[in-house]
Amino acid sequence: MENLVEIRDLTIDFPLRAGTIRAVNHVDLDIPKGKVTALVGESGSGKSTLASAIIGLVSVPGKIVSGQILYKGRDVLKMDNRELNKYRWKEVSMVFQAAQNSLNPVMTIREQFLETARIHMENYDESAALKRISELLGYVRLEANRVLDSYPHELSGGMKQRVMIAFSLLLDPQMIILDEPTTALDVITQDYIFNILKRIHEEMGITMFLQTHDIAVVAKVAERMGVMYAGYLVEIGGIRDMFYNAAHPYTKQLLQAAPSLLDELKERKPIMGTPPDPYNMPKGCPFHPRCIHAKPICEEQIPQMVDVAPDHKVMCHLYL
Amino acid sequence: MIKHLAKRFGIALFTLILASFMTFLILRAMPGDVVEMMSRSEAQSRGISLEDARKIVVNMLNYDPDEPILRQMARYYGGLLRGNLGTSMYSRTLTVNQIIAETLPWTLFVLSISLILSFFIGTRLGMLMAWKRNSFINPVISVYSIITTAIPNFIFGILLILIFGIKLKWFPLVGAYSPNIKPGFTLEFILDVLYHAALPILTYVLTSVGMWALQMRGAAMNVLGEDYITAARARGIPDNLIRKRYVKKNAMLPMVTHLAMSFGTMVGGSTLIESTFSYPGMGAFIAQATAQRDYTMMQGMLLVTSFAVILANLIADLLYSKLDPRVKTEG
Amino acid sequence: MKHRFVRSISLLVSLLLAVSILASCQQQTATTPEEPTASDESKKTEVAETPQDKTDSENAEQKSEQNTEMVKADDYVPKVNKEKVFRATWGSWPKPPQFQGNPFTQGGVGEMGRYVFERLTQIVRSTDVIHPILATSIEHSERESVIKLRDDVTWNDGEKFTADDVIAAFYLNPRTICNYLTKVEKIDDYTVKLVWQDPPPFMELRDLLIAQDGTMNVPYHIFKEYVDKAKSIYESARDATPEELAVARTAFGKKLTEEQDKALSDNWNEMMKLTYPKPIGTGPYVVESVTASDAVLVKRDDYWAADQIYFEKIHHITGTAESMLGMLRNGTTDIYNGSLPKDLAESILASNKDIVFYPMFDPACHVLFFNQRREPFNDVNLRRALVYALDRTKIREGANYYGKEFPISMVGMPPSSLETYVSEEMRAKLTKYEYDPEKAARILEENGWKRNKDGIWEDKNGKTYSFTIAVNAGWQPAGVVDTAASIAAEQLTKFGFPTQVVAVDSSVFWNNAAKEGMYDMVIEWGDITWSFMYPWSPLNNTFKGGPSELMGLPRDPETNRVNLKVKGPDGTEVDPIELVDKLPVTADEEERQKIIDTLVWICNEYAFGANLYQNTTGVWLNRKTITGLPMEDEIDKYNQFMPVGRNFEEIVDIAELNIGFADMYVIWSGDLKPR
Repeated sequence: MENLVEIRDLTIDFPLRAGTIRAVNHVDLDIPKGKVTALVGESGSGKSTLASAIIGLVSVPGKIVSGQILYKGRDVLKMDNRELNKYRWKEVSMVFQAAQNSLNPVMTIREQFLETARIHMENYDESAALKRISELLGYVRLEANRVLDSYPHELSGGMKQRVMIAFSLLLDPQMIILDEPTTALDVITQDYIFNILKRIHEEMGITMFLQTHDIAVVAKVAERMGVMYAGYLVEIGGIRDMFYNAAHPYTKQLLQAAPSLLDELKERKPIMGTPPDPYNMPKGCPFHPRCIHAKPICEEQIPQMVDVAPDHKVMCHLYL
Repeated sequence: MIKHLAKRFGIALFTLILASFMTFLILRAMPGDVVEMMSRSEAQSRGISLEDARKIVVNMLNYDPDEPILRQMARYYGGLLRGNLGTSMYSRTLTVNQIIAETLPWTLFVLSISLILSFFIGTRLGMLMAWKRNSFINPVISVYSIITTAIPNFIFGILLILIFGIKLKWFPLVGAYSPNIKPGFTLEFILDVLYHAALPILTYVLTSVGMWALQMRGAAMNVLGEDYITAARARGIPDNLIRKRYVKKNAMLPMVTHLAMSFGTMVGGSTLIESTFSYPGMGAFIAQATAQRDYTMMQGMLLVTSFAVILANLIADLLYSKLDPRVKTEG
Repeated sequence: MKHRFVRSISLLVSLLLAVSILASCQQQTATTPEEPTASDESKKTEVAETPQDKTDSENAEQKSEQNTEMVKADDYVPKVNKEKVFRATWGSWPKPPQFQGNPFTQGGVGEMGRYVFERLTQIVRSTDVIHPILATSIEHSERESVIKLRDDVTWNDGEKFTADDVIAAFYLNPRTICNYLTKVEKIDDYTVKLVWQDPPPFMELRDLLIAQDGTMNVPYHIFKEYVDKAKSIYESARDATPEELAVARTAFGKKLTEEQDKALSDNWNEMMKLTYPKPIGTGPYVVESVTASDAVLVKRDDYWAADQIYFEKIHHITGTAESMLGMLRNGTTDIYNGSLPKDLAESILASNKDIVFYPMFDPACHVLFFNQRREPFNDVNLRRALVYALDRTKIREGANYYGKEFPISMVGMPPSSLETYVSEEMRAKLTKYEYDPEKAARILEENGWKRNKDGIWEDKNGKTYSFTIAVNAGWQPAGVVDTAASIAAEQLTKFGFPTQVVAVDSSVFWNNAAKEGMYDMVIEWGDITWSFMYPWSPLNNTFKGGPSELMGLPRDPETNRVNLKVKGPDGTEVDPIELVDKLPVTADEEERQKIIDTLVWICNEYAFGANLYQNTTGVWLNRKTITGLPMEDEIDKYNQFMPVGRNFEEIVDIAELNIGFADMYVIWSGDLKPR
C-alpha cells in the first residue's frame, strides 16, 4: 500500500498570551493513496490543525516545532511560497469546516472558480474551464447556470457546501482534505453530502482525509480511522479493526458514546470527565484522568505507540 | 430595488426635516441677542447712543423676538419649500443662498481633496498595518493617530503655519489664492489655488490619516480572521491577490460608510480650520454668523451641513449596496 | 518578547518625532535675549510733554510739511521694495461675497476704508494733533464755523468733490457733532457753513468734533436720494425745546415725531440696500481685488496729492492672530499694530532684525469695574477697600508687562493725561490708592466687617460673599484680561473675598455684563477715550457709555438714563451727568477746568472701579522694505525697541504710525516710503 502523505513526528505549538498550547504532539500518520482516512476526536483535539498543516496552513500564531509532512516524498514544510501555492489545491485541496464562509462574499462563484483555475492551469482557457466547472457543479447536483452568477449569500448552506466540494475537485487533486465538512448542516443535507462524497471517492478514486467527531459518518465512508486526543494520535487502524477491536480506552468510549450503527443493542454511554485543560496538560498519558483502566505508570509516562494488530497501532500502557 | 431606493430616500427626507426642525429650535434657545450685538457695533461705528442704535437695529432687522414661534416656523418652512434660506440678518443685501453658493465650493474643494487623499493614504497604511502585524509601522502609526486625534485639528493647522508658512516660507499663510491673479479657468489660477490650499489640505490629511489607518486596520484584521481568507490561501491564491480581492475589497465595505459620514461631519467641522487659514469657505462664515448671532445665516448653513451629512449617508447607503452584493436583496 | 521590544522602540521614536516638531516651533519663541532692552528705560520715560488741545490746523499743516522733508537717505540695506508695495496686516473686512462698496452697511468696508476714504481733517489720537486733509481751513465765529474745501479733489469714480458731499455726510449719518448743530449749509461749491446750537461748543472743541467724527463726506452723487430724504425729514421736524434738549441732545436740535423717526430709520434701511462693488472715496487708493484674506489697492494717478504718495500698491492681509504675527516675524508684512506680551515681543525682535517696535501710550486702560447693582458693591467703603487690596503692580507684570499702573481707583480718563487736563490743586486732592491690604482691612473693620475664623470677610449681618469677575472670552490678544482677572481674583481671595473668574462668550458678554448686570465685577476697557484726548470724550464715555453700564450706575427706570447724585469735592451735591453735558458748551475755561476736576474726583473718590493699568500699544514696522521711520538712525542703538518719544515731535511722529490712532496718515503725509 502506497502512502500519499506521511506525517512524521509533527508537533505544532500555539504560543498565546496565557501560555503555549501544543495542538499537535509528535504525531506520526500515514495517509494511504486512494483510501478514505478519517481522523476522529473531540473539538480541540488537534485534528483540524493537523489537517491544515498538510496544505501548509497553520493558522496564526501556530508554529511547527518539529516534524515533517511528506507529500509524495517531498516535505511540505520546506516548500517556499511559490511551491506551496503550486502544491495547494492542485495536489491537495480542502473542504473547510465552515464551508459556508469559505467563499469571498463580494465575488460571484464564477469569478472565484475562474480565479483559481487561472492561477493554476498552465494553458488556461476560460471556456474549457467553464465547461469543467459546469460538469463539476452538475456532479454535486447543482445547476451551473444558476449558481455561477450568484454571490455566496444567495446560496443555501448545503448548496455552498456542494459548491465547495465541486470547487475542491476543480484541479483534479490527488487528495481532498475534508475538515468537518457537514458540521453546520442539517441531518438530511449531511447525508446527502456524504453520499456525494462517497460517490466521488468511488468513481474518481481520490484519496480523502476526513476530520470529524461523528463516528456514524466515519463508519459510513472511511476505510481507515485515526483517533486524536489532546494533540496525540492515540490509535489508528483499519475501520473494521477499529470498530470491532478498539484498543484504546478512549476509542472504546468514543464508540460507545456514538449513536449506535453497528451494534444496535448497545446502550449509548457518554464519555466520563472533561477534556484536559490545554494550558495545563496532565503528566503522563493525557487521557489518564478520565481513564477507567489507569495504572500508576499512566500518571508518570507518556506511552509509546505500539502495534496491536497488523496496521493497527495504539498509544496506551495497557498494551506495552 | 425601487422599493429599497424609495425607502432610503424616505428616511433621508425624514431626517432632513427633523434636522431642520432641531436647527430651528436650538438656534432660538441659544443665548445672546442679535439686536443687542448689532446695536453695540452700530453705536460704536456711527458714534450714536446705544438707545438710538437699538431703535435703528430693531427697525432694520425687521426681527421681532416676540413673534409667536409657530409663525416664525411657518415663515421658515415656507421659505425652505421655495428653496429660499432667507436673507442674512447681518448683511441684508445678501441672501443666505448667495453666500452659500459662493463659499460652499471652497469648502467642498478643500474637503474633497483632503478626504480623498487621507482616505487613500490611510486605508493603504491600515492595510499594511493589518498585513504586517509585527512590523514597526504598527505602533508608530497607532501612536501617531492617538496624538493627532487628541490634538484639535486647527491647532495642527497653526503648527503647520508655524513650520511651513513662517519658518520655512514654503506656503502662504492665509487665503485661497493670490490677489494679483485673476480668478478664472487658467492654469496659473488653478496652480495658485492648489498652492494656497496646500496647508489646509495638509492639516486635514495629517489629522485624519491616522484615524483612517486605524479604522482600516481594524476592518482588515476582521477580514483576515475570516474563513474565506484561509480558504483562498488553501486554493493557492497568491498573497497579492488575497490582499487586493479578498482583504481590501471586504474591509473597504465598512470604510465607505465611514467615508461618507466623515465627509458630512467635516463640512460642519471646517469652521476652525477655515478660520485658521482665513479660507473663504462656508466654515469661516458659520463661525462669523455664530459670533454675530445671524440667525438666518446660521440656520441656512447648519441646514446645508445637515443636508451634507444626510446626503453623504444616503450616497453611502446606495454605494454600499453597489459594493456589497449582500445588501441588495435585503432591502 | 520581540514584539514588545519593537513596540516600545517605535513608541519612543514617534514620541521623539512629535517632540521635535513641537520643539522646532517653540524655538522661535525661545530665543529671547537675556539682556534687558531699551524698553526698560523707555517705560520709565513718561510722556514729558503732552499735547494741547489747541493745536490749530495751520500749525499742523506746517508740521506735515516739515515731516516730508525729514526723509533720510537709507543706509541700512539696498533697495528691495522696487514695486513700491506697502504690505499691511491687521484688522479685517467682510469676506466676499459680503464685501461691497457701501460703507454704511453692516461691517462696512473694513480696513479698506482707511485707504479709500479721506477726512476733512485727520486727528492723531492720543495727541489731539489735527492735520488738514480735504479742508484747507476752518474758521470759527460765535455760532458758526466755516470750512473751506480743496477744489482739486475728485472721487475715484471720476466725479468732482464738492460741498454737497460734505453736507450729505452730516444729514445722512448724523454723528455726535450734529447734536450740537442746527444746520449745515452750502456757501459755494467749496465752502460749508456749520451753524451751532445755542450755547455752542467752545472753539477748541469744534475742531476736535469735526476731526473726531470720521469721514465727513459721502459721494452725494451716489447717495443723493437718501441724503435729500433725510435732510427733508430733519428740516420738516420741529425744534426741540431747551427742556427736551437738556434730557437728551438730538441731531440738529430737532424733535422728531414717531413717524418722522420711522421714516428716517426706513430711509437708512433703504440706503443700506444700496450696494456697489468697490468703495468710492477721494483717497489715494482704489480697491483692485478683495478676498477673504487679501486686499490689493492701487494708487490713483488722479489723486489730488499723488506726488506725495510714495507707495504704488497696498497689499493688506488679514488672518488669525497667529498668522498675522507669523507674517510679521518672517518679514512678509511692513506694518502690524498692537502690543504683544513681553516674551513674544522680544522673540520677534530677536528673530528678525528688520522689525522695529515703536511702543506708545494707549489712551485706554483695563479697569476692574465694580457692579453697583449687586450687593455689597453698592457700599462705597467696600469698593475703596478692594482697590487698596489689589496689588496692581503684580497684575500689570503678569498680564500686560509694558503697561503702567497709577495710584488711583479710576479717574474717568486715561491717567497719563491727568497732568495735562486736571488742575494741580485737584491732583493733590485726589485720594491715593497704593497697594495697602492693611488699610483695606481697616476700612472694612471700621464699617462693621470682620474676618471669620477662615479669614473670610463677614458683613455686619454676618453674611459672607463670593465674587465673580467676568471677562470677555473673545478678547484679543488672549492671555491679557483673563490673566489680569485671575491674578486679581487670587489677590481678592487671599484678602478674604473668595473670587472666581468667568470667561463669557463674546456673543453674550455685553448682554450679560452690561445690560443684565449679571456679574459682581468685570474687566473691560475703561478710563479710555475712543476719539480725542480732551477729557469730555473719556468722561462722557465713563458716565454715559459702556462703563456706566458695567458699573451699574443707578438709572431712571423710565428714561433709562443715568440718575446719579453724589457729594462733590466741596461737599455740595452734584449731578455728574449734568456736568458732563455742560462741559462741551461751557465757554469759560476756568469753569470747564472745575467741571473736569469735579468729575475726575468723583470717579476716584467713589471708586467705581479699579484702574489696573494703562495699556501700552505700539506699531511694528519692517525697515527692510520701508523707510522714513522715526529715529531711523537710532534703531540699532535701541535694539529695535524704540523709546516712546523723547519730545512732543517724536511722540506725535510715533503716534501717527498707529493705524488705530491716525488711520493711514503715515502714507498720506509721505513720511513712510518704499525702500
